[in-house]
Amino acid sequence: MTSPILSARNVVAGYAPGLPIVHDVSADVSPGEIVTIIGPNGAGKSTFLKAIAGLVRFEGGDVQLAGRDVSGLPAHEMVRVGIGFVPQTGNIFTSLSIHENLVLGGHSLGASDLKRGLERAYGLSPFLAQRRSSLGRVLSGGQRQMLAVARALMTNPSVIMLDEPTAGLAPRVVGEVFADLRRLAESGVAVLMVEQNARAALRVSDRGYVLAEGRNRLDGKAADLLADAAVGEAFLGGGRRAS
Amino acid sequence: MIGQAIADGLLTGAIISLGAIGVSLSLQILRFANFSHAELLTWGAYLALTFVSFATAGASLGPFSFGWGLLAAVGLAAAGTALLALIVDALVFSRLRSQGAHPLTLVFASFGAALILRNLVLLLWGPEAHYYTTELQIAIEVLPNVRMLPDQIFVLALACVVVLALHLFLRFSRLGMAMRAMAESPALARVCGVETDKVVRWTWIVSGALAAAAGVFSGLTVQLRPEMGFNLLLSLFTAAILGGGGSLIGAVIGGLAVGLSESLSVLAIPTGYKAAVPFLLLLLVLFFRPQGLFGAEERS
Repeated sequence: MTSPILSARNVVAGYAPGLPIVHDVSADVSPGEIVTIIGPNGAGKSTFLKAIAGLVRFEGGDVQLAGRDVSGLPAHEMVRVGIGFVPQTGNIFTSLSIHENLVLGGHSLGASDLKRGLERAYGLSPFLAQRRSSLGRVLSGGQRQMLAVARALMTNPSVIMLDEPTAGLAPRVVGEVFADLRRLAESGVAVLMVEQNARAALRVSDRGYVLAEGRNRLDGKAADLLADAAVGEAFLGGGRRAS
Repeated sequence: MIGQAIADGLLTGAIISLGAIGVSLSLQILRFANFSHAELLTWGAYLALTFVSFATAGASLGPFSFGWGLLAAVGLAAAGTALLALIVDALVFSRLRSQGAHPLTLVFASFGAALILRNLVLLLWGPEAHYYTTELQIAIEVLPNVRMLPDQIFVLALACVVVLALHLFLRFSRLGMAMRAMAESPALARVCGVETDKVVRWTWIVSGALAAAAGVFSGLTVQLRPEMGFNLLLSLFTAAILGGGGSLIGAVIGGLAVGLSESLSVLAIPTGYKAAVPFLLLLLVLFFRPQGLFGAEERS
């Protein structure tokens, strides 16, 4: 395995000072790899991603991106150093057009890089190219997710973090989203995601982490976690699990 | 008669629109009802007065009552008012924001800021009315039975230019796009790399400059008094709420609706009740369409 590009150690984070939700969480992700974080509601999965992204109070720990200390950088700096983040709710600007969403995704870029980024995004997705002046609000859940990922990729990040990318999507669309993420990882991007849809997410992932009560509980190869009876019973819910 | 009322209403409405845009921007981007915004109109008007008094008394331009001095003063007053808005933010609102204050706390703070700003005007320039010029103007007949002063036509035209420029700025510039993005979702805007502090600063600059324009235009067509902004406060909020949280166009149409309803009401009810019309309009909007006329749908 290549060495991790993003390495978070002993992260402590939360919304209010002195009241952390994430008590001590560590995770790594390497280029070309999909890593999924699973765990029960309230385990601090989303907060952990938001802490790395600079959206919540970072109270302790260490985050290294390609050997550079990026712990607790504000969100607008994180995108500049190469970490893209796709939030769960409100993942696109619904009052803005597809084109404007993409331009905002490249807000930190200069004019020529922005132009190249737009060309790349439209080249990868004919749908976005055809509908560039459509408002975000008319898009379906799956289309929004596609736009959200394309928006986060505008800056050509080395790491992309996704908070429950398949929440609320139809089962058929869930498969498409995961397939897109697989292709993205194959292009060399490190993908770190949080998923309630744990079983399906682990199937496309290389490795996984199980969090509980704001701490690491288990980690390992995705296939091993899927096969692990204890994980299955506690976190994968045996059969289908509502997200 | 009705034509004249419409012309008068459009003029008042244009001035209210310029002020209401600032109120709407703070509602959307800064996320609080800024009751001190009206005082920025007053400050803009008085700053322009000060600049005009320093300018050499130039000849008036064409049919207008003012010369180049006032036009330059509008620009300087816009810059000065923008600076004042930034100072008030640094002293009051940004401190509260950094402490994670409740939006209502900001609203109450804005009442306090308004009192201070208004009384500073009183202290510096006195309670009496001021005028930019004492030139007398003759109204010209723009349409059959519709008369307007050249200054009023100028104000209306310049207000249109300012609104158009702002529309293009918000629609096409990257900063304008970032402002719209932040109005919808500050967190997502930050994730995109938008520096929210910078957007907040530009919001104050734009609303301060527009407030100054509204103040000067109001001073030019009526007179300057320390309470001139305060008297427009309700109209500004009515226009912003009428327009809905959604858009700049909403605030402009809201402003025109308030101006027109005031002037048209005079045809049906005694003039003394004119000031109550924005109240009535506000109540009707809050009852029947609390999201504003443009709150639900937006322009593409």
